[in-house]
Amino acid sequence: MTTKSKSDTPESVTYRHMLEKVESLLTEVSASDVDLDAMVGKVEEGYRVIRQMRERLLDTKGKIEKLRLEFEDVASTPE
Amino acid sequence: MIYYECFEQAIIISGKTYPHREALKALGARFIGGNKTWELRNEAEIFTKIKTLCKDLGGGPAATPLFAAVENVPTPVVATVESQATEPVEQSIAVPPPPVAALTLSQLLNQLSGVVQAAFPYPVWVTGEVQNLNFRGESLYLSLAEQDPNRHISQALTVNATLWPSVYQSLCRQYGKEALLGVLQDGMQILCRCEVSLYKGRGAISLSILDVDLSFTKGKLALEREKLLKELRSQGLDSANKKRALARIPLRIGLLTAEGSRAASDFLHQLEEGGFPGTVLFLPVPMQGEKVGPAVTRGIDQLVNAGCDLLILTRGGGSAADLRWFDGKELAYKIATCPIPIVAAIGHHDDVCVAEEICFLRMKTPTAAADFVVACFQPVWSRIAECGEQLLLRTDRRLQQSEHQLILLQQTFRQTWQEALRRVLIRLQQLQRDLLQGFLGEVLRLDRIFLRLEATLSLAAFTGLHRREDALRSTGTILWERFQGACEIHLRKLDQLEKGLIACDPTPWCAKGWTKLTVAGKTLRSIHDVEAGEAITARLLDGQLQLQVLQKESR
Repeated sequence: MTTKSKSDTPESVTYRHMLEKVESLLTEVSASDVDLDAMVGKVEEGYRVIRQMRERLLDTKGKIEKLRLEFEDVASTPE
Repeated sequence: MIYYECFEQAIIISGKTYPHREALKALGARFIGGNKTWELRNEAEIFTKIKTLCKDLGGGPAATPLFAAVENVPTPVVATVESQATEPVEQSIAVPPPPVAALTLSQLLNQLSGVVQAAFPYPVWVTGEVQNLNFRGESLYLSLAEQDPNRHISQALTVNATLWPSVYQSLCRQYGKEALLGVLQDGMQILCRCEVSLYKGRGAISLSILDVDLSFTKGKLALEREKLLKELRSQGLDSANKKRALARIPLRIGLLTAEGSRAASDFLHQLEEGGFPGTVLFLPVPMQGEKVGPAVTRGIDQLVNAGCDLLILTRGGGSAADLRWFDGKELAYKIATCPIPIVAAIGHHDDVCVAEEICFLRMKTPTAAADFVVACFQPVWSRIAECGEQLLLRTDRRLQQSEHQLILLQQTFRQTWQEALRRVLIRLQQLQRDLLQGFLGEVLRLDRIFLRLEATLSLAAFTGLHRREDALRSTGTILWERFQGACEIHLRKLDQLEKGLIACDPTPWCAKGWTKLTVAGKTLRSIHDVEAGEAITARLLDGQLQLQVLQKESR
């Protein structure tokens, strides 16, 4: 049983798994004897996963941006 | 068989008389133990009865005369043993003719017994010193002795004497047992009336005592006592001990008496009753017998050396004759020369022994002697009581003086301590004020210090807070920047992945007319990978074609 680090949140794990999935798909697609239909399917899946990852990333960036603004508001407010 | 022999006044019966003793007693016969014969009054009637008795029992007139004829019967006289044993016999006994044949010893003794009996048909008074006195049963055996001053004591003349039980009891009734035994003691000169006989068993003269003259013995003792007193008076020793100074407080008493005697217990008990405060040194000594003189003499020396203040010589009682043990010359001189007073309580008799005559004081009983000792302390007790009263009086006076002094001292002390207390109070009040001022000053000083510390602390806190606030802001900025960087990295990575996918995507190629050929599932990359006539599969964008190789042409 492996111990999960603080970064191993469900969201992070999912993102990392997605990344590994994409990398795996990329490796499989790069092989020479891959069936064309299978290749097309894997490419399509790769696009889909990348799109989800980008959405996830942008979503996270928005949340962080919001937190930063709140923090700066609190820090700049005089006591 | 029994034999008889007639004398002028008596008939003597001899032979085997024991079986016929009752018959002889009935005739008034008296047994003579010395020669085992019986004596009867020489009367015609008695003589006839004796002859008849002899005829019946066998016997008759004695063949050998038992006694020589005695012309004149001697009357009782006072005579010494020696004079009775020699002169009268020689003068009165007729010498028998020499025997034709030799006599046996028993015959000789029988004849001598008769001679003695004839010589002393009646009792005689004899004087002598009692020796070897002893009781056997109820018989009293002793020797009467006459001491020649010019001869050794072992050469004294002695004759055995016996006091038979019947005579002893008769004399006890007549004189009293105590008085009789007081005289019949070893060393006593006695005058006694005796029957003289020959004891054939030892061939010796034997005396049967019939009476004792007690006044003779007492008179003799009194004479000796008076002689010694006269000797002491001539030297001034009869009153020497009387002149001894009695200790003012005789605390150490020497007691000479018999061990376990009533005298000792009476004396000690009376001393205890009288509250005697001193010490009694009790030296047990015999109070009867020949050892009295030497033992008491030694005892006096021992007690004098032990540091006694007063000696008590006492006994509980006893016969008057026992007083003679205290008439000794040696003891008398010892008492006379004794450096401390001697109180004698030897006997409550009319006769006074020499020891009592010359001692410091004569008391009748041990109890009286103890009373005398106790009385010696009476002046002391009185003096002690007097001193006690004086001491009480002086103490009381002294106490009153002390009480007065104490009252004065108490007043002075009260004034002194009140003044001291006032000064102390003033000083305390001053100290209280000083303390309050000091306390307030200190409080103000501490207050200032606290204010300064508070300001410093506030400044430090404010500064620290700003510093942390800045640090926090910086941290937020850094975090944002790093997050943005990370996002960029991820985006670039996604771009790269997407480019990779685009590069691998066959769809654009297929749309342009490119296809992928496979033979039996394997990608066909060269004409060498397939033979003419083999079937191949061509993948197009919208489907696939099954083709057959007709001809291979290499470029």
